Amino acid sequence: MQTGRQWGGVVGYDALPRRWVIEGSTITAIAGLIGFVYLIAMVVPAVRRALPFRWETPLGVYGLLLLLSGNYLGLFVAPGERMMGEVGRILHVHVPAAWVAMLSFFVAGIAAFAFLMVGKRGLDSLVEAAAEVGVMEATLLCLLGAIFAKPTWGVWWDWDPRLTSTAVMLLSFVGVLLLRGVVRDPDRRATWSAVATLLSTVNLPITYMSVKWWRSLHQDMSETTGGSTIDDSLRWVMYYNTWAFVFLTVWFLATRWRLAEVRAEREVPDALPEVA
Amino acid sequence: MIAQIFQVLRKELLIEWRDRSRVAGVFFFGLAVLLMVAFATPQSTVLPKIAGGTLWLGLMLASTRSMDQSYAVEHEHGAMEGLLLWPVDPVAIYYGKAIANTLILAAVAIVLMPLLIAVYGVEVKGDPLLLVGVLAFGCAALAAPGTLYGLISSQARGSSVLLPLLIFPLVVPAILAASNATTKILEGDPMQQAPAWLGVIVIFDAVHWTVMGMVYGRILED
Amino acid sequence: MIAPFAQGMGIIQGGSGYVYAAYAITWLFFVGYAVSLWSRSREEA
Repeated sequence: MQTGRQWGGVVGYDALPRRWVIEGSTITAIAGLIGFVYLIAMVVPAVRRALPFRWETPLGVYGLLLLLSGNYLGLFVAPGERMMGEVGRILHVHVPAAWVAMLSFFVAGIAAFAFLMVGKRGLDSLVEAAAEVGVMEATLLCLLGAIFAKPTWGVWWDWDPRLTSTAVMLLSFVGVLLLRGVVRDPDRRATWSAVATLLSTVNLPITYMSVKWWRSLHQDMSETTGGSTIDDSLRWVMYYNTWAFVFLTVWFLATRWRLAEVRAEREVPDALPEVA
Repeated sequence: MIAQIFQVLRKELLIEWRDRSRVAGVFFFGLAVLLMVAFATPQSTVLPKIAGGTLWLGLMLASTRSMDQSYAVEHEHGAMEGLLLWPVDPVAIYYGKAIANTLILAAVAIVLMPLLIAVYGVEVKGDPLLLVGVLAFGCAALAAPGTLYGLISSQARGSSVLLPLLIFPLVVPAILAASNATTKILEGDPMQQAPAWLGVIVIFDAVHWTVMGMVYGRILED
Repeated sequence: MIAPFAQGMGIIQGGSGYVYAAYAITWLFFVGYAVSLWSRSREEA
């Protein structure tokens, strides 16, 4: 009964009137724009200092609200998918999770590279934050993927390029976190974990392509596109949820980064007392 | 630079030759994996199909032993400081050690091949030269990250857990390619897929041997 | 703006359990992580 194996154009119902699709898309665009503009404003240090609260808090609240409303849309407003029926609703959380997991790992990679170039402690804290957030989200991603796969493909797991690359990335970054856990000396820890993070990031394209090659030789499953051909009726809901995930992730990253900085500060030995 | 690499390589192999326990350890670990997988497989008709993959599984696991040992020698005898004081470019140290590790793994692989053929009931139906290439580049693929991470884990606690965890995700593409290539060569490769897989391994090697070399200097300093 | 839509008319029938599980797990992870961040921040402070 599992016809989910062959996508051949993922299409939603025509049940959503065209006008509502346009409205929905507009809402999604505006929702994203608000958050994005705020984020840009936060890049300016003067603006951040002017705020009486932590700059990431509004984003966190905003993300939460978007997630609440977005999930509601995904569960009750968006039409079911033509091939997958109700199960298609999972995509509204699964695809955003994929985006933010990759985003976090990407941030970690950039921070690691920057750290190796510049050596600022703040960058090392960012590596730590991004690695942890990334691991959390990649784990969620794999779980959601399995939940999606079971009713659609009939199996909990499969060795397709995306799944395999995700699993490999997840494992690599778990290794980075473990490395950070066992190394005591802050400077060493920073350098080594930056190197390990960088290598993990470099490894991703190679892993993805080699698995893709492997699958194409076997010609097993047609590769799932997980929504790239998704219909307008569904797409705006997915993008709406994506904004929710993105802003929440920024909040996670910022909060975790603060924690890392506090801990790093604590490790710096106190200055010796002045000689009278 | 080449001369320096050669010097490091010579030192590594000399140490190895004088006390062959490391190569023996690596070999027996690999052999153990091969035998145990064979024992654990209920139907012996399946064995020829998994022979290629098992070989690389064994080599991968055995390589962690080799990397551990590569630095243990230096730590045990307090030779780490000596290594750092040596007027040799750190990059040369990396390549010298990595080449030495590759050679050791390759030697083990070559000795394991006839045993694989015997125990798993396979023959080399495909091109033997291609097989040699796969073994050579595959072992190089295992040695590159191992030499780098071996340095890190030898100085950290819990290295026996850390090293495999760091290495395995990184070498997945190489193991995938090497296993597939080996299996195809053993089976006869009607569609000539093995050279493509070898290409993947070579690309992997090219990327990692350059990147690791560049990064090694930073780690050795610490 | 909310209107009832044709539920359960895909070729794959049912599966609502999976959908709820997916959304629930998402919330679990996010709320759980937020809580862990908060409690760890308290520890440090």
